[in-house]
Amino acid sequence: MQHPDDIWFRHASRVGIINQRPDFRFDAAFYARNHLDLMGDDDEMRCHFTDRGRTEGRHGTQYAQLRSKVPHIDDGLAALVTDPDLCTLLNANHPDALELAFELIQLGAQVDSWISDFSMRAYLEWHPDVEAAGMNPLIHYLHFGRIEGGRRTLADLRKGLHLGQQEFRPELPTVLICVHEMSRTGAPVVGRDLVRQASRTHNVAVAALRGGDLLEHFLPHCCGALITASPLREMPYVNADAFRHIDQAILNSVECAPFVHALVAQDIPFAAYVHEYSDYTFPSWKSVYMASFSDLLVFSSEHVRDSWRGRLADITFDTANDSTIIPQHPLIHGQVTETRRRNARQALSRALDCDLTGKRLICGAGHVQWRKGTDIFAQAAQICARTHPDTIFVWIGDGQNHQDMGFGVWFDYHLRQVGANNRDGNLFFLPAGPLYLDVMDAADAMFLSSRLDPLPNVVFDAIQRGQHMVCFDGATGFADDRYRGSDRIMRTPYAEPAAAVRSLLALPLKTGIADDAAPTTPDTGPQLFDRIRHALQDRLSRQRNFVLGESAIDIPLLFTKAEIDRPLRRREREKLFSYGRRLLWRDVQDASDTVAASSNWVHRRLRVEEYHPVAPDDLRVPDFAIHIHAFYVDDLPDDLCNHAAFARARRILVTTDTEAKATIIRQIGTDRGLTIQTQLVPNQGRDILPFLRLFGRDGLAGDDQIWCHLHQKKSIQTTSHGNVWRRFLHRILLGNQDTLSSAITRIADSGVGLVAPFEPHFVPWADSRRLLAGIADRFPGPMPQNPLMFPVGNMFWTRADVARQMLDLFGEDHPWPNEPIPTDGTEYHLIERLWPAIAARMGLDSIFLHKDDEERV
Amino acid sequence: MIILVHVKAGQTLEELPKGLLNEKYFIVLLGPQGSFSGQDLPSPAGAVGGSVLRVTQLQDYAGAFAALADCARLLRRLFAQNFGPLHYIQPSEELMSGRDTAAVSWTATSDGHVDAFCLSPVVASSPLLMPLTRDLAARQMTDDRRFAFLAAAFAGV
Repeated sequence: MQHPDDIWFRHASRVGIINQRPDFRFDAAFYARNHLDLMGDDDEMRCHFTDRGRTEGRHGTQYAQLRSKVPHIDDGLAALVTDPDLCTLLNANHPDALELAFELIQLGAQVDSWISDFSMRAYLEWHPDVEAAGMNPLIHYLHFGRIEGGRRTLADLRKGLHLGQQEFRPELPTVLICVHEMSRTGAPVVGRDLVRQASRTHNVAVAALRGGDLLEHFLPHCCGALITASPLREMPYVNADAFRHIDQAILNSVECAPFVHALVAQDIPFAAYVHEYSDYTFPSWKSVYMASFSDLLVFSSEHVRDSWRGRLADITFDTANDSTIIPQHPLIHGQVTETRRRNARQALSRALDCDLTGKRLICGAGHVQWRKGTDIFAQAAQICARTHPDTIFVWIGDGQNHQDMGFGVWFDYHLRQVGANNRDGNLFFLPAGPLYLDVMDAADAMFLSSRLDPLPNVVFDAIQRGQHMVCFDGATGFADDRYRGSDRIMRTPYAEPAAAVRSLLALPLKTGIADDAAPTTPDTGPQLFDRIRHALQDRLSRQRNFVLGESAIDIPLLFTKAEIDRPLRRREREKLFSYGRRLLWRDVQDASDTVAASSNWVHRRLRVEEYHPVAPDDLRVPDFAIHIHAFYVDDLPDDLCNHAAFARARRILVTTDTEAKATIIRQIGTDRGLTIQTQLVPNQGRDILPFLRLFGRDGLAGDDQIWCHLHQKKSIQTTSHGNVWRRFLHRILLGNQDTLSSAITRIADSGVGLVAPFEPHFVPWADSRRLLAGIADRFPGPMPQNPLMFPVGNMFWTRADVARQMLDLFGEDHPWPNEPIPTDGTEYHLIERLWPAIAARMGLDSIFLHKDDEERV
Repeated sequence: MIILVHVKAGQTLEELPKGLLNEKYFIVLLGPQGSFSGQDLPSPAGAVGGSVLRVTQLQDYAGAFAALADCARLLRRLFAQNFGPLHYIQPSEELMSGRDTAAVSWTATSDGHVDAFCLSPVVASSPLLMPLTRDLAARQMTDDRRFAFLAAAFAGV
C-alpha cells in the first residue's frame, strides 16, 4: 500500500505545486483566506497551524472544514475515487485517505479526472447555475448535487463510454462516426456498416446520442463508443485516445445534428450522410445547421437532395461543389437457388398457416406507419383479393400497435375489416425477426408502398434475392435516374394502389437457379466508407476561399454569447463564411454589398441606412397612426411610457380579441393621457390579419396614410432573448422617451413604401418558399432566391396604399387559416417576407435602419 | 511551392506579382476584405479548385507570424499535401533566395517586424507547425523573436 504522502507527492509534482504545498494536510492559501486575522507567508501560516491553530480548532484544509460541518460527504467522496492506490487506502480505512482524495480533486484539471470520476471544470460547465452561484464544484456536488440527483459528473460520462475491441494505433488516421441512436433501424445499421468498413484502415471512435441493442455490433470494430446527449459539453472530457485524435468525422443521419456544435468547436472536418427528406426533418435547425457547417453533404439519393433544395438555397449553399450522391449500397441484381426459394416458402407457409405453393407472393417491409404506406399496401391486397386471390401480400416489420392514436388504432381497425392475417385471406403481417430472409427469398416481388422513403435497405436485399420491385414515382430514391436502367425496378403513378397492382401482376414469377449455380457477390468497387472519405478529402483539398477573424455582427448561433465562447463563435463564422454560406450578415456593409450586387427587381428597391434620432417637434415629422395588435396586454403600459412617438401619434388603434382586454387597454391609455381606439377582432391571422383588415371593407384605417404596425404577440418573446428582440424592434421603429426614430421621417418621403429595422440574421424564405409559386404571377418579375431583407418580426412603418395592395394580393375573401397554425410556412409568414416586394411593385423603396448600439440578441 | 502574398490594409492587389504565375505554385492571397478583388487575378473569388487561394482577414493585422499561424491552421491540408517550400512576401517584394538550406529563414527590420520569410518543405509540411505557431503567436514578443524560436524548434530538421 502506498503511503498517502507518496501519492500526494506524485500528483502534486506532476502539476508543479509540490513546493508551494508539500503536505496535503495543510493548505496555506486556504488557511490565510479563512483566517484574515493572520499575517505572514506560507511557512508562517504552517507554523501557526501546527503550534496553535489546530488546538484552537482551526482547519488546515478545505476538506477538514467541510467535513466538520457536513459529515455525510464521506460516502459520496469515496464513491468518486478511481485511482487504485487511493482505493487501496480507502479500503484499508486509512485515516488520511479521504482528505487526500478531496485535496487531490481540488487541484483541478487534470489531477481530478486522473484520480476520480469528478472534473471540477466539467461540473461547472455542465451546471452553469453552480458556476453562476460562485460555488466550489466539488463542495457543491458532495454537499447538495449528489442528494439532489440529476447532476451529471464524469462518472456518468464514463458509464456512457464503452470500450471497443480495437486498440488505438497512433500510426493510423482516426475517424469519428456518429449515429443518432443504436437501434436496429435503417440509419444506425448503415452506421454499423460504416464502422466495420472504416476499421480496416482507421482508428474508429463511435458516438451516439442514445444507446440501443446495436451497440454490441459496433464494439468489435471500434476503439470506443460514447453515448452522450450533450456532445459539445461532454466530448472534450472523454479521456480516450480515439476521441482525442479525431482527424475527421462522418455524421450518419441528419438526426446527428447535435454533434455539429462539438465538431465545429474542435475544428474537426466532417461529412454528413443524409438519408432523411427535409419534408419530415423537424425542427428545421437540424437540417440548417447540418448543411451550414458540414464540409460535405452526402445524400443517399438525388430524390432526397432534391427535397433539400429549398433549405440549401436558404443558406446559399453551393450544391454543386458541397454535396454529392452516394447510395449506401450498390444495387445487385441477384438470384436465389430453387432449393432456397422452396424452403423459404415452406417456412413462411408454416408461419402464416397458409399454403403458398403456386401463389404469387408480394412482400412489403419496414416499420408499420403512414410514411411506409402500409395502409396502401393493404389496399393493394384488397384490390387483388377480388380479382387475383392467389396473389398473397406479406408485410414484415414491427410497429403494429392497436393503442397508437396516430396510426395504429385506425390501421388495426382497417385490417380487421378486410380480414388480414386470416389463412383464407391474402394479406398477412409478420413481426421483424428471423423470417425476414425467408420473406426476401420466397417473394416474387416487393411492393414499396412508401409515400416517402429515401433508399430503404430492404429493396437492396429484395433485388439481390431475385425479386422485382414496384414503387411510386416521386416517392423514393429508387425512382432516381440512376436506377432507370434496372429492369427489376418498376415505377407507377404516385400513391395509386390500383396502378401498382397492375404493375405487380404483370411481373414474371421468380424462379430459383440450380444449387450448383449459387450466386456470388460481384465486386462493386469501393465501399461506402471509402467513397465518403474520399469525397470529403477531395472537397477539403479543393477549398480555395477562407475567412479569418471575428465578424462585426456577433450574435450567437451554435454557441452562447458568453465571452468564454468568443473563440468558438469566431471558428463558427470562419467556417460559415469560408464556404460562402449564410445564417447571418458578416456586417452591415456585407448586407449593403449583397443587395447592391443583386439584379433582382425586389432587391433593387432595398436600402440600408443608419438610424438617427429625430426631435418630436421636427417639422419633417408627418401625421401618423400607430396600430398595435394586443392579444396580450402585459407589456402595453411600459411600451406607451417608453416611447414619445405614442404622444405624437395622431391616432392609436389597438386590436384585441375580447371586450375585457379592450377595456383594460383603453384604461391604460387614459392613465397616460392617451386616447386609444380599440377594435375587437377574432383570434385569427396572428397580428397581421387584424392590421390588413383595417384597409379592407368597413376597415377603420380611414384617411390616415402613414402607419406603424406593432404587436404584443408572445411568439416574439418565446425565447429568453425575446424581450431583447422586442425592445430592439420598438427602439428602432419608435425611438425612445425623448426622441423619435428617423423611420418616421423616412416613411414620409416620397418614393418610400416601407421602413423596418435591419435584421442581422440572414432570414430566408424558409417554409414560405413552398407558397411562392402560388403568387408568382402577381408580380412583375421573379421572386429572388432569398429575400435578403424584410421586416423580420413583422413590425414596420408603411403606407396605407401599400397595406391595401398586400391585402389585395390575397383578396379579402381569402380562406385564411385558423389557429393553431404551424410555426412557419403559412400565408402570414409569407406576408412578413413580401412587404418589400409589394412596395417594389408600386415603385417604392424599402428602407432598413441599422442602429449599432441596439442589442438584438 | 506555396507563396503567401500578404496584402495590408489600404492596399489593393490588382494583379499577381510578376514571376508568380507558375502553374506549379499555389498562391495564397491574404488580406482584408476587398484587398484582392482585382479583375486581373486568376480564378474568381468563390471558385473551388485552382491554384489561387484567398484568405480574407476580417480584422486587419500586420504581423507575418500571425499570418503564418492562421494559415498553418486553415491550410494545414494544403501544406501537408504539397511538399515544397513556403514563402511569405508582400505584394511589392520578391521571393527570398539564397538561404534554401535553412529550415526557417526570414528578414526583419530593426524594430522586430518581419517582412519576408521562407520555410523549408519539411517545416512547412510538419504536423508540428500548427501547434508551434499557435503557441508562439499567443506570446508577447516581436515577430523576429518568434521566428527565432521557430527556427530553433526546427533546427537540425
